[in-house]
Amino acid sequence: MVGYTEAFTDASYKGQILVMTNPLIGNYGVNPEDFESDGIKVEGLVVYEVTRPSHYTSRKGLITWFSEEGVPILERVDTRALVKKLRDEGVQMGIIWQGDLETAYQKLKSSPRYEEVDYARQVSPKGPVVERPEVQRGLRVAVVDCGLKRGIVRQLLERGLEVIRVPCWWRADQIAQLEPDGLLLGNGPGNPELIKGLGEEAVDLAKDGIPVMGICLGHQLISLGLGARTFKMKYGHRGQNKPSVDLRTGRCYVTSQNHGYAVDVDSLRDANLVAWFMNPDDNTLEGAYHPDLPVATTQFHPEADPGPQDTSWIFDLFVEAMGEGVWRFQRR
Amino acid sequence: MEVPKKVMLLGSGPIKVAEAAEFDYSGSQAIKALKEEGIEVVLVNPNVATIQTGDMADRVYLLPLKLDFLERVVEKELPDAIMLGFGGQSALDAGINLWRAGVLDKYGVKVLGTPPEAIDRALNREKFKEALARKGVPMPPSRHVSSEEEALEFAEQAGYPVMIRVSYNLGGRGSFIAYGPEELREKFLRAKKASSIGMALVEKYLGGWKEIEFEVLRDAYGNTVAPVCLENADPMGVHTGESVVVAPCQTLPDWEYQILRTGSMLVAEAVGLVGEGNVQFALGVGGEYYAIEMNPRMSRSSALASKASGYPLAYVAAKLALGYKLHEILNKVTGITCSCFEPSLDYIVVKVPRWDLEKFEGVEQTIGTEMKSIGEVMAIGRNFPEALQKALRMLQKFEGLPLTGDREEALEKLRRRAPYWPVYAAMALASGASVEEVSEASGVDPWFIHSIAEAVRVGKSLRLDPSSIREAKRMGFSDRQIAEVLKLSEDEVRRFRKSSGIRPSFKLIDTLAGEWPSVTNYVYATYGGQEDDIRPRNGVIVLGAGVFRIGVSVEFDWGVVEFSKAAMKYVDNVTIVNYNPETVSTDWDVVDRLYFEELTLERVLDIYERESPMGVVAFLGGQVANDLSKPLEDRGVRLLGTSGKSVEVAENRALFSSLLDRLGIKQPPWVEVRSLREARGFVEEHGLPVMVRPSHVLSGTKMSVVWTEEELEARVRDALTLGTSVVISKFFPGEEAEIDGVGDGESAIGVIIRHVEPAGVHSGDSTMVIPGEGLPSEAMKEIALKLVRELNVRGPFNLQFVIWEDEPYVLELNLRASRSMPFSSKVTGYNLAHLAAKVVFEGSLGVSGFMEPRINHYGVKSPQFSWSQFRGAYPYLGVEMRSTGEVAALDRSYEGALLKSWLSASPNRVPERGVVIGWEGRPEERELFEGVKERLSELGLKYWSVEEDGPEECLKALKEGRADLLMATGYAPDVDFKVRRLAADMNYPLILNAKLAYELAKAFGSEIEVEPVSWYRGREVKLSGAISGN
Repeated sequence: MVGYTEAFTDASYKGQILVMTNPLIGNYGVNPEDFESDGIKVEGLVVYEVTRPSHYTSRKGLITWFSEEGVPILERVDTRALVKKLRDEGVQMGIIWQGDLETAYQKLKSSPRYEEVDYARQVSPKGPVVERPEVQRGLRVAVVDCGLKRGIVRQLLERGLEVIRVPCWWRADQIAQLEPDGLLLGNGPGNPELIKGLGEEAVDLAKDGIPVMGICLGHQLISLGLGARTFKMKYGHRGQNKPSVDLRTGRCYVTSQNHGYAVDVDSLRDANLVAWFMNPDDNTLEGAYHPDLPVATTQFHPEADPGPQDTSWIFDLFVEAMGEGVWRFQRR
Repeated sequence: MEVPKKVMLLGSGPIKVAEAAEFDYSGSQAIKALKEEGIEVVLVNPNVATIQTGDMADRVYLLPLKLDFLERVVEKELPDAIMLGFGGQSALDAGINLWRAGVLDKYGVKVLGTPPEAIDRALNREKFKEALARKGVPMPPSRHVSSEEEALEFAEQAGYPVMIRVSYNLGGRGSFIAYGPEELREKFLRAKKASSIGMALVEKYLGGWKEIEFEVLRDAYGNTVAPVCLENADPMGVHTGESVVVAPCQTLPDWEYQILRTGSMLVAEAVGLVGEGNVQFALGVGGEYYAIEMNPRMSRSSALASKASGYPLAYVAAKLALGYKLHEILNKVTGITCSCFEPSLDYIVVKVPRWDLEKFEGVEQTIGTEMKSIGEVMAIGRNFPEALQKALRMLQKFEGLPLTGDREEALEKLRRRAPYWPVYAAMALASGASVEEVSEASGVDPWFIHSIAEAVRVGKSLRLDPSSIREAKRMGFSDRQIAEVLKLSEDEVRRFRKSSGIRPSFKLIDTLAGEWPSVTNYVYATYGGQEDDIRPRNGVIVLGAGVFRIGVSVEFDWGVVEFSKAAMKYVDNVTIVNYNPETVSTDWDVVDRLYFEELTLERVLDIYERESPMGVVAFLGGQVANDLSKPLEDRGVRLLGTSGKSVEVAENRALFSSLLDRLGIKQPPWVEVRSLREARGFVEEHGLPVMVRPSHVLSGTKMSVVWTEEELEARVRDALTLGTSVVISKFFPGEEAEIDGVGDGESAIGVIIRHVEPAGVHSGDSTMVIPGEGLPSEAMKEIALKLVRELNVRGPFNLQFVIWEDEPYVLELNLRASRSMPFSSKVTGYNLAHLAAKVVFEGSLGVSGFMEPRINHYGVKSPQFSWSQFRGAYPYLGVEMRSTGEVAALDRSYEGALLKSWLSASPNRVPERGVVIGWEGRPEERELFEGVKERLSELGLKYWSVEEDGPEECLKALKEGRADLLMATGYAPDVDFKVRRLAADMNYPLILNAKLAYELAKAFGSEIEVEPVSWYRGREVKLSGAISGN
C-alpha cells in the first residue's frame, strides 16, 4: 500500500506498465531518498486517483515528477477490474495512448514484445562501479547489476561491505579478477532466457569457493544454472504481504515479492538444491541452498524496500558466509 | 499441541462508553473457533442483548464479571482453561483478578493465549516501559506516581503540558492534559480514583504528533504479523476512540511505515503476546516515534481493523491461543491462502465516531483524551471524500459534507476540538478558509483537508449534466445532497442519474486486492468502478441497525443476526446491509452476503435493483430501518412482514390515536399544539402533570414531564424550537409495562414486562422484570391482540402501557424489534426473532389467540450508565434515554435476580461503608426513601441525606470514602448537583430512582444463585393461551 516511489524506480519494472491496486497514489509525494535507482523505471502508470502530496520530506508531486521524466499516468481507471483481468489472463502487452483505438492497436502491434527486449542490458552499468561503506569491514562483494534495487546495495553497505556493481554481461573470470569475497545476483527486468548464462557464471564462481547469494531473478538464474527448472505461476506473487516459511526453523515471515515465475520444487533434486523457504499459500519455492557449494538464494526480497524488513537477517548470513568462505548450510 | 476439553470464556459485560458490541463480535468468533475443535465452551457475560449469550456456547452464565461470582462458576464448571482476550478490558481485568487471587491455580485452570504475566507487562506501565526498553522501543518520558507531589515534580522536570493517565484504564478514563500545576493538582484526585490500583502516570504530552496503530498477531512460536495499520486523522491528544480513523495508513512513506510496523512486532515480542494485540504509536518527524500503549487483547480497534481489512483477527487470535502456528490457519476469507500474511486493501476505509453529547445536560462539548463517543461507523470507498461522506451519512446526523458555513465559527469549532471536525472543515473551506488554515486549526494532516477541499469544490460547482453528476458521485455526494444544490427532488436526481447511466459498482473486500480469486462475500458500493464483482442472488435482504447511539445498541444487532440465522433455514440467500464495524452482523460468516453500506433510501434501492431479491426485511434494524419501510414500499420494493402502511399508522400519532379510539382502547388524552396558548387550554381541561414533546422525536429528545405552569411555558417554548408543533399529553405517574411479541396477523406470542421505575423514566433506562406480576395482564393481552389483527402485524411488535387505576393505557406501539427483545427471548426461551422468521416464511405462528410463555423464575434487566464519562453532566433519569447498555440476570427469587442484574452493570457494588441520599422527590417517593433508610440501618449502613444533613456533609462523606453509593430520585440539580456529580466522578454506583432504591435496598444481602441460563430453561417453559380473542 505504501512504497510507490520505490516501485516506480525499481528497474525490475523496466519495459512494464504498472497497475496499482491501491486506489490513492501520491499521498506523501516524492522524495529522491526513496529511489531504488536513478529515476522512474516503469514505462507507464495506471491508477485510480493521483492525490495532492502532503509530507515534510516530499520534494514534488507525482504528476510533476512523471511529467519531468516523460512517463505517462493513466488516471481514473477501475484498477481492480484491470487487475482481475491480468490475474486471469496473465500479464500482457499494453499501451497508454491518447487518440483513436485503431492507431493505438497498430502501435501496440508494431512495438517489440516485452520478452524480446534485453532490458537488463539497458539498465545495467557500462562498467564496474565501486561503492564504499562508511565503515569498512574489509570484505568486498561483487553484485551483478541487471537493474539492481538500491535497497540491496544499501543492505550490503550498511553491513560494511565494499560493493562493486558489475555489468550483467560480465563473465565469471572478469568478476573473479575483482577478487570478491562474495557474489550477489539480484533482481532485474525482462525475459530471464536472455540472461540465462548469468546463473552458470555464478555457479562457476561458487565452485571456486566464493559464497553466492541470489535474490528474486538471481535465485531463478542460479537455480537454472544448477539444473533446476522454472515455470510460470497461475497467480504471480506481487506485493509486500506474502508469507514464506523457513523450513529449517518453522518460522513464518511476511515478505516483499515480485515474480511471476517460480523454481519448480520437484526439480531441486536434479540441481542438488535443498528447499529453504516455501510459500504456504501455494507451496511454491521461496528459497533454496546447496548442501556442498556456497550458494543460497531467496525468491522474495529480503531487502524489502518497499515492504517488511523481517528477513533482512539473511544479509547477515551472507556476510557471515563471506567471512567464513562458506554459508552455514554447508558446514556440517 | 494439546487441545483443552472445556474452556471458560469471559465476555465484556454491558455496553458502555469504550466497550461496545465489538466484544460480541470477538467473543462469538472465539466461540466459533473453539467449537470447531470440539471444545466445550462456558461463557460468562451478563450482557443479555448479545449474540454470544444465545445458543452459541454450551453453557451461558448471565452473571457479573466479579471475582466472587467468577470463582463460583470456576468451582462449578471446573474448566481446563480460560480465555481472557475476547471481552475487552473488563474480561482482562476480571481474569487478572482471578489469577491474582489464586483461583486459577487452585482449580488448575490454564490461561490460553497471552499469559497473565504478559498481560500484566502490557498493562502495568512501568513493566511495559522496561520490557520495551530491552527491545529498544522508545516510550514517551514518563513517571509512575502515587502522589500529587511526585506528579508535580516530574512535570516541572519534563515541562508542561503533561498527560496524566491511570493504570488499567478503560477508554482513557481519568486521563487528561495539564497545562500548569494548578490544573494538575485539580484533576489528580479524580484520575487516581479511576485506577483500580490507585496509581497514575505523568508523561510528556505529544499533542500534534501523528497517531498510528498496528494490529499484531503473534503465535506461541514467535511468528508475528502486523495485518492492519490504522491512521488516526485526528492528531495525538485525541483518544483513538474519538478520532476519525482511516485504513490503510495514508500519509506515511514506506520507511516510516516500516519503522512502526517493526516496532509493533518488537512490542509484541517484548510483552510476550500470544494472540492478538493493538499497539499505538506517536510519530514525529525524522523517524522519531514513541510506543504509547498496547492492548494485549482484541480491542475496538481490532474489530475495526478486522472489518476494514477482511482479516478475521478474532478467529485467528482464538486459534493462536489454542497453540496453532500462524501459517497453519487458513484465511477463511479467501478460502485458499493462510493467515501468515498482511492484507492488501484496494479501497480506503474511514471510521467516524458518533457522540450523543447533547443528551447530557452540562457536559463538555469537546473531545480529547477521554472517550465519550458511544458508537462508530465504518465506510468504504475508493477515495477519501467518497468514504468520508458515506460515513457522515451513516452517523444519522448529517447528509454529507456541508457546502456552506461561517468561516470564523467553523475555525473556532476546529480549534476547540468540537466533535465531527470534517463537517467544520468543510464549512470553513466552503466559506473561504485555506487548506493550511483548516489543517492548522484542526491539527489534521493537510492530505485529508485537501481531499475535503476537493469534494467541496466539486459540490459547489454542481450542474445538471452527466459529467458533473458523475464527478459528484465519485466524491461521495448523495442524490439528496445533489438534489438540494440543484433544487430538485431526490427521486428526480435518481431518475436523471440512472438515465445517464451513472450507477454505483459493487466491489468485494477480499484481503488480496483482487490478486487471487477468493470466496469472500463482503460487498461495498463505489462510483469509482467500471464493473461489478458480484452477481445477483435473489435472496432476502435484511436491513441492519446502523450506528449505535443512545437508544440503539447491540440488542438490535441480536435481532438482525438471529432472524437472519433463522431465515437461512427457509431461503438460500440471506443478505445483510449494515455498516457498524462493532457488530456480529457485519461479520464475514454470518450470512451469504454482506453489504457494508449505508442504510439510506438511495443505497438500499441501489442494492435492491442490483440483487432483485424476494423482499426486504426492515423490522429488525430499529428505527433507522423501520423509517425506510414506507419510502421503500412506495417505490415498489417488496417488504416482508408487516406492511409499510401499518408501520406508518403506528408511528403517526394522529393516525394511531384515532385507531385506538375506533377500537375502544384507552390512551392518555393528548393534543398537538402550535402555540403556548393552545397548550394552556389542554392543561385547563385535563390538569397537570403533562408530557411535552416535539412532534418527531427519537429516544425522547427534548421530551419532558411538566408538573407546574411555569415549567409548561419553558418546555413548550423549548420544544417549539425543534419544529412547528408540540405534542402535549396527560401524564399518568403510574406503573409502566410493555409487551414484546410477534404477530402473524391473527394471533400472537408475547412476553409481558414490568418496569420497576414508574412512568416518566424512559423504558430504555428502566429496570425490567419478567414475569410481569401484579399487572392487568388479561386486558393488556386483549389490546395487543386487537392491534395485531387490525394492523395485520406480521412480525415483531412492542406495545407500551402505563397502568393507571388498574387500567392499561396505551403509550405507543412499535411494529419492529424492540430493545428488550433479546431479554424477553432469553428469559423465556422463546426466541422472538426466530418466531418472526417463522411468520415471514411460513405465514403463521401456529398458535391461536395470544400465547404467553409461563416461567418459574425471574428475569431482571438493568441499564448501564456511563455517568463518570460524561463529565459535567447532571446524572438523572427522565423521559430522555441516557443509558448506553444493559445487563440481565435470572434467579428463582426476584430479589436475587434484581441484585445480580444490578451488580452486573458497572460500577455497581453493594455498599460496604455508607450511602449518600440526594433529593428524595415527591411525597410518595419520600415514603419509599423512609423504607430505604430503615433497611440501610438494618444492614448496619450509615447514610447522609442532602436534605437533612446538607450537601457539605454528603460531599465530605463521599470524598473521605465513608459513603460508597449514592441514591436520589427525580430531577433537582439545585438540590444535589454537586453530590451527584462527585459520586459519578469518583466512580461510585448511582441509584437514581426512589422505587429502584427501595427494591434494591430490600435485595441487598439476598442469597444469590449461580446457574447457567439453560438450567432455568430446563425447568419447563409452557405457552399459556389465556386470551383467544373475540
